[in-house]
Amino acid sequence: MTKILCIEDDEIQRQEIVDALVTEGFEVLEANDGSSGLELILGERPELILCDRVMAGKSGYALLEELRENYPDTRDIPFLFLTALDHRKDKHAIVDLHPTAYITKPVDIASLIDTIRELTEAD
Amino acid sequence: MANSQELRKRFLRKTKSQLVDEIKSLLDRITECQNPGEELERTEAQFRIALEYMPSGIRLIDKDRNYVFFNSQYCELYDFPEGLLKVGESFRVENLYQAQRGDFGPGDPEDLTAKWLAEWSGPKVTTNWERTIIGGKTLQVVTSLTPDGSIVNIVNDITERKRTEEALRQARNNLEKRVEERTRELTKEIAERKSAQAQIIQASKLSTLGEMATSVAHELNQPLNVIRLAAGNVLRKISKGNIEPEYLSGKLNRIEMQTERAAAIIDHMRMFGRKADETAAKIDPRTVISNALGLMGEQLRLLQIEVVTEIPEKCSSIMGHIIQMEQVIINLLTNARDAIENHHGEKKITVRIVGENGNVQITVEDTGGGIPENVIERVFEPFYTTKELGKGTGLGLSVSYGIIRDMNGSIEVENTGAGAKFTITLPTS
Repeated sequence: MTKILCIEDDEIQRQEIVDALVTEGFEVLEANDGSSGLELILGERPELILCDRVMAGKSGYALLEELRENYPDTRDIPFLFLTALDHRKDKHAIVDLHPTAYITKPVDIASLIDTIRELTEAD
Repeated sequence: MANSQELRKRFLRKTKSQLVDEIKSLLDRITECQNPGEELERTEAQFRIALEYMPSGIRLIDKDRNYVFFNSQYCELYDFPEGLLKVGESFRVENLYQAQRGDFGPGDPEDLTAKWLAEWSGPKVTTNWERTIIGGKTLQVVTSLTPDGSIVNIVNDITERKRTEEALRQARNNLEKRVEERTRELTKEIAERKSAQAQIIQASKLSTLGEMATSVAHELNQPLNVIRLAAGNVLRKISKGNIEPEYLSGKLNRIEMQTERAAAIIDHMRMFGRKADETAAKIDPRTVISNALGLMGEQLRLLQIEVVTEIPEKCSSIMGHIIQMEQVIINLLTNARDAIENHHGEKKITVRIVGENGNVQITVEDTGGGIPENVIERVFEPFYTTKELGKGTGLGLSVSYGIIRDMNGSIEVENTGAGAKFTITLPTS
């Protein structure tokens, strides 16, 4: 079972994403900010990280920056950003950190699942 | 015995009412005197001098309405020719003369005479009336009926007094008219100024609304995301053929709640765009902060600006227009946001409400580096902006200043070191 870490500070949105992933047969780990997400990444080694970009506390942006700088061995874990921002400057800022992909909110579940399957090569 | 010169001086020092009293007393003494002698002659001399020297016209007619006495001032006041009035003859002669001269207007002088005679026989013993005679002179005539049925008239020329009164009345009327006109002009000016101010407030509000469009898009994105996710989950469950009714109702409830949230955001935006009502109302400052952050909060969160609120559990109300007050807070939050975005460092806005000494203080403090000291004095001036072209109208703080001033409050700015701090002080309602 493919293990996915979902980091999202808004509980309702997180619940819906987790629900979608569980329905599709994924094993899902949950975190509500970058710091607890980092612990799970290092401890559980998920096969994909689905992370909101802006969060109270440590943001997704800061988490990715930290992973890229301090934990190069996590580079092979696909990092999928959830972002409400569609501003070109922000896209560049995200792309500069080399996430694997990003999904724009409001999230289309079908696209989300397809993207995750593509990245994890899960059935 | 006092000579006539001394008597004259003595009478001239007396007031009119004193003289009238004295004349009446003399008349009484004359009437009562059974044995006219030296005393009577002396008092009669006094009486005549007194009457002659009085500034008023005096006339005495007996119960048969024949002249007993009239002084020269009486004839002068009426402009009667010398010799017209004669002691012992009927007072009708002067009525006839005045009628012919036109003093009474059209009408039979005998009718007037009859009217006066009737009045003088009535129960009223004193009458006081004013009359303007030919030549424009206004006379005041006091008529008294004595116990023996005689008539005493005291006549004074009040033309000057009347002119002065009329001039005063005219001046007062003119003044009232000018005050009325000025009041009308002022009311119009105030209405125009209010209307212009309302237009500026509205223009600035729409500009704020425009700036907030992005913010609102983010606010709406939250419920939209949940709705899309929940609906997507339901559809996928249905396609897999394993949906439970509880699961479905849970998702639909969630969708309903999120649509309510989105509707509330849109409602508030619509209300914010509307023109303010004319009348001020009680406002809870906490609601103002909460509404403003409701419109700006998500945008600030996405920019990773931390918003700290220090709001008391209880707070006194203030008087004003809630939308205008929200506009002020949104202006301050927008300025704080822009300052923080252009400054490297901590990203924090602190909004505080403090109540003290019958006032409510609202502070909005940022960590945007502060306002340069050479421009801090000018930030409330209209059209003054330090923002790049197209970023700000330069009206936000000026309009905020006007709104707060109209609420009898004040708004001040200071640099804290880390950034700028705006303090609004308003009286509690």
